Amino acid sequence: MEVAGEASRRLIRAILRGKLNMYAWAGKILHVDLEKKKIWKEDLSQKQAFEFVGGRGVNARLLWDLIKKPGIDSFSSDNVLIFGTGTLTGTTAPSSGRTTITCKGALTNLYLKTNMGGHWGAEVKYAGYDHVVFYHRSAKPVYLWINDDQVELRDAKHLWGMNVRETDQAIKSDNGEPDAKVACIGPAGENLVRFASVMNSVYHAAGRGGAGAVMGSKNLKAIGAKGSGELKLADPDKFNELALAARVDLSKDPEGMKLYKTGTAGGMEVINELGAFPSYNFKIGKVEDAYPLSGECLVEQGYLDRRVGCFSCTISCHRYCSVKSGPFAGAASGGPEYETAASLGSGTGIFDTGAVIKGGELCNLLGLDTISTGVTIQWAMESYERGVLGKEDTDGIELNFGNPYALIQTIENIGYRKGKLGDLLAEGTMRASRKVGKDSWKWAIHNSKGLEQSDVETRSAKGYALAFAVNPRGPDHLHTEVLAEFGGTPTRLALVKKITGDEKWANSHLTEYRAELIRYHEDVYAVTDSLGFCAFSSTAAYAVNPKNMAEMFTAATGMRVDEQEMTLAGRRIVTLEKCFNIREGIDRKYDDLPWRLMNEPASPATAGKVFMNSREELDGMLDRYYALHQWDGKTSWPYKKTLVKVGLKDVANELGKMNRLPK
Amino acid sequence: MAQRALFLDLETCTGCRACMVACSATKENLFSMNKSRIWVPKKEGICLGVPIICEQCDPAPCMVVCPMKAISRHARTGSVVVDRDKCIACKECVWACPFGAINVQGGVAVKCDLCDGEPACAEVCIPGAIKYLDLERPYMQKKWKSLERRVDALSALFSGGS
Repeated sequence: MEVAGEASRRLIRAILRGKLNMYAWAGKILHVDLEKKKIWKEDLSQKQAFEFVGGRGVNARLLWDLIKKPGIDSFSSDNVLIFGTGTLTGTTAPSSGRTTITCKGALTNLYLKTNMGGHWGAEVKYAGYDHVVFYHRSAKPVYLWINDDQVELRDAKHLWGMNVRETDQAIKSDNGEPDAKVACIGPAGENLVRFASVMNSVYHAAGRGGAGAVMGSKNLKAIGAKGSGELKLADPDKFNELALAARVDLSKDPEGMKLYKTGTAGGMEVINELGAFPSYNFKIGKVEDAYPLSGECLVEQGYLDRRVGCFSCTISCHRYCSVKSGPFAGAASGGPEYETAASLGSGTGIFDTGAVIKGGELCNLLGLDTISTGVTIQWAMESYERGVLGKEDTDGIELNFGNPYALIQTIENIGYRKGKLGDLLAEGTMRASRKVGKDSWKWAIHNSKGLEQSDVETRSAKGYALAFAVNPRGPDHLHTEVLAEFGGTPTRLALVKKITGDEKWANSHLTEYRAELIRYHEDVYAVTDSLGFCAFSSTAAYAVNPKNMAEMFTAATGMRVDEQEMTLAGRRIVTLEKCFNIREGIDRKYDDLPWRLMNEPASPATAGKVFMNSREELDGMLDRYYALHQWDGKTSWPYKKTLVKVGLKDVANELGKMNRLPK
Repeated sequence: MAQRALFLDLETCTGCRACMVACSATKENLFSMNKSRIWVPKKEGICLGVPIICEQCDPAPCMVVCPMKAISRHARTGSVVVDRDKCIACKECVWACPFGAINVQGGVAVKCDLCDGEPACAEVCIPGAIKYLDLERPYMQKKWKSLERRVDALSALFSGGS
């Protein structure tokens, strides 16, 4: 079965003849040259939109085309920063308001896609743009103001140094548009902290990989947007019917309901009971009491002020919490999410709800990725306790596990690169451990690509281990979620059976069929991101699936695709992302896991069992994964015929010229 | 038949604005914040959204001020409706409305007409912040309470700060 099937070839021919109207997409790409202060608009190529769906997919294609020269530094003026809204963003499709940012990442110097919820994407689409691309670097701080057709670069001198909340407010009042939406960086991005996030609608982060630092390196403070336009769909009645059915399905899904009630941090105690709660820098998997960090605690102990929804979301897993008493009274912020509570809480041995909310607030205001921030501080705490870092290195901070004041002070120091410690940690664990030396790399939780791992226990979840290893941006759960491998619900079991032939493979301790499970979810995840859906709707809850995504895509755009073609578009995107990294010179050895997760089990042993990842196991899964993709097992590079088959012939040619096709 | 009304709950609203898109999709066949009859102004710094829609007041100030007698009450749904043919877009009703729930688009006043008894906003609101319920006494008290809270929140919203 060829990827570009006859139906889609016919469609592409129709597109090329200019026979199809543009629906669902706003239809324009906004280009901004920050150095020359030039702004121009370009029609979104309908062929490209069809092949790469939108959002993350089209972003990947743009990045491939715009950065031709491998090896440029992520902070160099040649890096481009691409914002891409989802194809269905701005419609009634459930949980479809997400935006993808793509560039070379500041931590890895490799492919980075980072995704955010909030309301910014929909606003930009209503203003008339699907993608916004930034080139080069401005000599002075600027921000971009988009008000429908009127787009201009404005002086951001007065905004430089402001935190995220202040920046958001200043741009709204400067322009007299209280209902504008702002995506911006905080001081961390300005100070080129390598894991600075881009924030939008104040508390919604594109956190991972340092897109905020890349934005800071371009002297771009923010993008404010106000859109009064409209989106037209090919068949709005059919679309609304499909969207409403998906909304209702999603609202009935047990995972979706859990996310609404207790948020992403709900069910933390269960994870802890399973011995899969990363604590004390991934040394410990089960702690005495995980309750203070859980979503249940936020609800029951009165921290939760309200449940918050991203654009058009039925789940509304986001929270707004505040601390009413104790040493951190007054702290109030969006979140905390599971990852924040785990990286700033259990990871640092701080089981104090107030401290975690305060830490989360600081990260949000400074514009820091809470995962990398927490994991980097954990590394420093372990280094301090092992005597690798002394008080002279920490600017006098008692950097022990469990010290909330050290955590708060260190977060602030990182955001402003203050002092010796702040400046060291702002580089992330890979660079910091290289600088400090000794054995500190062994407890630095990043893999060869250089990104800090998210707080997921991979030693007892082999599917996640594989997914983390092959993720082009580094080890985290946001390239592929594979909750199905845990089984537990009828939907997950049915899916595992569909992919592997038997429900018994719904067992995260097994390595068999992990590659098959991963590849299915990887395709789905890519389409999910590209359409603007939230991964929770399609890979945590399964109410949004390839079938209804294909139907909604068809009704929205008027381009008829089926389930199979939809997932194949996902594979095209995943393959192109892989190819970007190959052009940068990476191969199979970069698809690995942090040293600790390969060599040291988490204690205590759960039910007498010790869980570990091993080289043999990982290699076995990788072999199968590359084989399934029809990529070469030795280098992990796709064969020419594979690339042609997924519709990336020009990519194959380019890699061929560079000698980056397997023999 | 018992008359029904929309009940909006500030505490349950997540500020997702699905109601706004659903409204424009239903009434205008396109997707836009500007073409919606329901409005969710937000204070993003505290993640607060306040859903605002025509309360179908009785007596209705918009109906009283309309110089063309273009605004009347729908017999079956009890909604306050605008006669497009009579409307001259003078905006008297826009000024008279205490909630900002009417505006003029394309030369005619537009407002919520309860989608002729099947409001799309309530249909898409999964958390249940917008419900279409029978107008019975206990509900009426609830409705006024909810309105009071939303009006308070709204004035706080515009009093400055992030």
